[in-house]
Amino acid sequence: MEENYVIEMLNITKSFPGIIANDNISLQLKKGEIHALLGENGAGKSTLMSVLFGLYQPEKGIIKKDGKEVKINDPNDATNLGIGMVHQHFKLVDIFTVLDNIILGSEPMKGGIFVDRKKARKKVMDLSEKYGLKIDPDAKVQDISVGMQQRVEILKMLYRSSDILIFDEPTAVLTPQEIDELMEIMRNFAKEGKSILFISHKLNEIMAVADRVTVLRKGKHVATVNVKNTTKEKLAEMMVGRKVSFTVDKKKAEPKDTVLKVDNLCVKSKLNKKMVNNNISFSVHAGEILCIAGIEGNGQTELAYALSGLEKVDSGHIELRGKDITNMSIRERNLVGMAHIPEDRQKYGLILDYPLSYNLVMKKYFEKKFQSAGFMKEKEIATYSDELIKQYDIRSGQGSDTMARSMSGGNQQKVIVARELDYDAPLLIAVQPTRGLDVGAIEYIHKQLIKVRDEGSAILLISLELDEVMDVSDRILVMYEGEIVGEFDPKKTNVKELGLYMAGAKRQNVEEKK
Amino acid sequence: MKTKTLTKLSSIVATLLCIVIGLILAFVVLLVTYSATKSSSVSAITGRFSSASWGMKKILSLGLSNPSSYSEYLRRFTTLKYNIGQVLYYAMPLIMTGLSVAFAFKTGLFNIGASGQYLFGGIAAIICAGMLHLPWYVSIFAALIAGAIWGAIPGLFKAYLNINEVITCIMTNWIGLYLVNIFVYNTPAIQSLGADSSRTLTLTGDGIILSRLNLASLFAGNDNVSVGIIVAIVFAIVVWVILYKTTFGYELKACGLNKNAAKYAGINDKKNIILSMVVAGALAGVGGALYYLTGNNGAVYKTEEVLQQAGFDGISVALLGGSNPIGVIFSGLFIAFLKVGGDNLQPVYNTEIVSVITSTIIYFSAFSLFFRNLILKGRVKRDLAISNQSNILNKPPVIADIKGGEKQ
Repeated sequence: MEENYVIEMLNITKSFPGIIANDNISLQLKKGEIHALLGENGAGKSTLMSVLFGLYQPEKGIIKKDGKEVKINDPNDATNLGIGMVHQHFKLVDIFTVLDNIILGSEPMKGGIFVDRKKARKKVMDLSEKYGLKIDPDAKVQDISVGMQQRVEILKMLYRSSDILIFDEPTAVLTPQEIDELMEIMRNFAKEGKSILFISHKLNEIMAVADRVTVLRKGKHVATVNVKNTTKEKLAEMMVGRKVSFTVDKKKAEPKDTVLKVDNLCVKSKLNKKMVNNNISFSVHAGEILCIAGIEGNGQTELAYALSGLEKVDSGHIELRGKDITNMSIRERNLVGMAHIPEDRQKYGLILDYPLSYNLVMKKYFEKKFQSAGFMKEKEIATYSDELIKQYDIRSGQGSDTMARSMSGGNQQKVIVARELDYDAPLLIAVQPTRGLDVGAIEYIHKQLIKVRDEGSAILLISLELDEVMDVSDRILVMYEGEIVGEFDPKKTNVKELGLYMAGAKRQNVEEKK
Repeated sequence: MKTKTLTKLSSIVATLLCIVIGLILAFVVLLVTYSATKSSSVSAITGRFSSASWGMKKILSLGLSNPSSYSEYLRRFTTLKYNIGQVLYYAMPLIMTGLSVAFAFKTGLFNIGASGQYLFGGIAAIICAGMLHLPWYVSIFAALIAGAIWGAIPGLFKAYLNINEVITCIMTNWIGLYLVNIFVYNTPAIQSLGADSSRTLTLTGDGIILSRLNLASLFAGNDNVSVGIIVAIVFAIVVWVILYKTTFGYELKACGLNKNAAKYAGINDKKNIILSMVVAGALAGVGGALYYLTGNNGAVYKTEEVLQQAGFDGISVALLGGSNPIGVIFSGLFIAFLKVGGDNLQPVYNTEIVSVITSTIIYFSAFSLFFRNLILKGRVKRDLAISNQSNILNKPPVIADIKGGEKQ
């Protein structure tokens, strides 16, 4: 061994029927480095990590730990070798306390039958303090924030003395501030001599935190480069296989008539009766993209629910195209002219066990075109669905018959985008439309939004991604604790200024600005 | 293979697997419960085995086994024909309650109240046929309405007060039973139908009970066979059409598969919950009518403090049939087949053993979903990997490239 590698995955090949997910991929992880694994959805990142974590067995190739060949048959083997993983979707028991979740499976025992929680608590709290991973050990997981849940997952790895840490898309669920914290924590781990594998498709984060990066595309190894010697643009090109533009080309907005008018809207939380939307007033015009920025949990979700009719409002009025829709049903709102890309694509956006065609007609199945006398016109539905699949380039195994569940996240989102854009509504509410998507798909969705805007629709974009807010919007409102605290022109503001408003450090008198 | 076909295939394989496991366990039950005193000529162990296999053969051949002569063969053949008739007769209400439960399942509701709805439908049919002397199809229609009303109650509670339908269904089962009992006790007109002190009543009369369509001649004079089985199959087909061909079915299944997404799409979930329970209740109600309107010795109403078993058997029929209306026809026939076959065990095994065996198989029917998911699980994972992969392939030819490379 000329170099000191803690983990070497050499010539790994893993195939699934009809496809090679990993084709002769090698990855070498140095001690104390942060090594990013970059690739689009479906490039083979997760498969490779699943091989390392013992979830899949490769057909070819070997894994070496500290220069010695090892066999990893299941996650227990991986844990024993000091490999820990934070999965993208957390694996926590909701009704257990934070402490119990961390020690679950390797509890210190007292007298052979009792869990020694005192000892466990001390060990966990020591680790928490040492790495600055703030947690409340007695809170139940269901009551804590996503950010804290992630810290719990990290502590789980540390508790098991892992020194090779795999982070699977860890920032997808975090707010900008939490992302910064996580980056700092990762740097500290590296300083300590732990080695980190960081799976991501967010280039900014990789540039900020990683030492080296391995790029995968279509199951093949493209390159392993030092982050210092490369640029964001080069990485993107390696990842997608073509040049990608990061800034969105768009003409100046030409706002016309008011499409949506929200007047003193108040919504109370169903859980604790706290006011989550407090006297919100704004309007969106045809031909403009109004963006609502804010840190997660400041009332944006509830605002979208109230506007789309998923939840009732407590007071105030919503007017769409001059009609009062405050108390209308969802169907009636849609018919007045509202399309909605929901925040949670699997919970609201899709029926996962329905085929693609049925998902694409979800808001149209009752129209004359698709039914007669209550019977579905299967042929028309299939034709329509095939058209949309072609037009929006939705990739699926079996075309219109594909079950939504079997599709990748990016393509699931495309299904929703296709359905909502084809609805041709004067108002489109898009909530986090690019969450969890790769660069190519984000670029695509942004272009579509602007196209719809130029065709004269009003768009209300609710987003947590400040880059997206700055790039796409024509006007920005910042929400903080259920109130609108500022209105900005994206050309005259910057991310830092928005951040101050988002964190509640500053606020404008919005009334005055009107 | 297409995912659709695979899903269907896996359901069938899973169901067959359950039946096989259930039968193996039934064999074990026969082994264990065999009482050696009844045959002393053979050694205990062999006796046990031969007797148990005799029992299994009896069940699976509807009581027919090893004829010794031609006349014996003819006699057995007659018995077989009669027994097939019995299977159809038993299957009739089971298919209807099975459809009831399956329909509710599709909307994400668990209709454990089929028993009460069945009884309500039954008593409505008895009133129409016995007191008002209406033709059988009118009685069936009345039963449909009565079942629908009784089914609507849990639906209303679920939709407007968010009370779990399982709880309201269990309550409506008992309320239904006692309401019907009180009614029978207090209605002289009903008692005059032949009810004695135990309040048993029987229906008779041409045109009033189910038309027999001269089917009895086909089934060795078994006059339990009537138009009822045809009615049940027609209902199954109608339910299939509703679920898979109409916008109503589209909405119902959407609510069952993902309530939130259905709501998001503008589907009125409250309306669908109520309608689903109404239809489920109606189906169970028709089941009750078919049973009582057969009008023979078996089909009498007795005031009892026991819930109608047919309602609960419906759950097993629905599970075994994979909640598919067409599957329900077959699973209903199968469970009826077991009941009839089991009746022939009686000289050697106790009567109760029949219920033990049936319930063993029914118990395993609950696993069919589990097996199906097990079969599908590996498959779906692979499909996902494939579709993930194909996302990034820009043009179809590229897929061919990769596949080509794989061959080399």
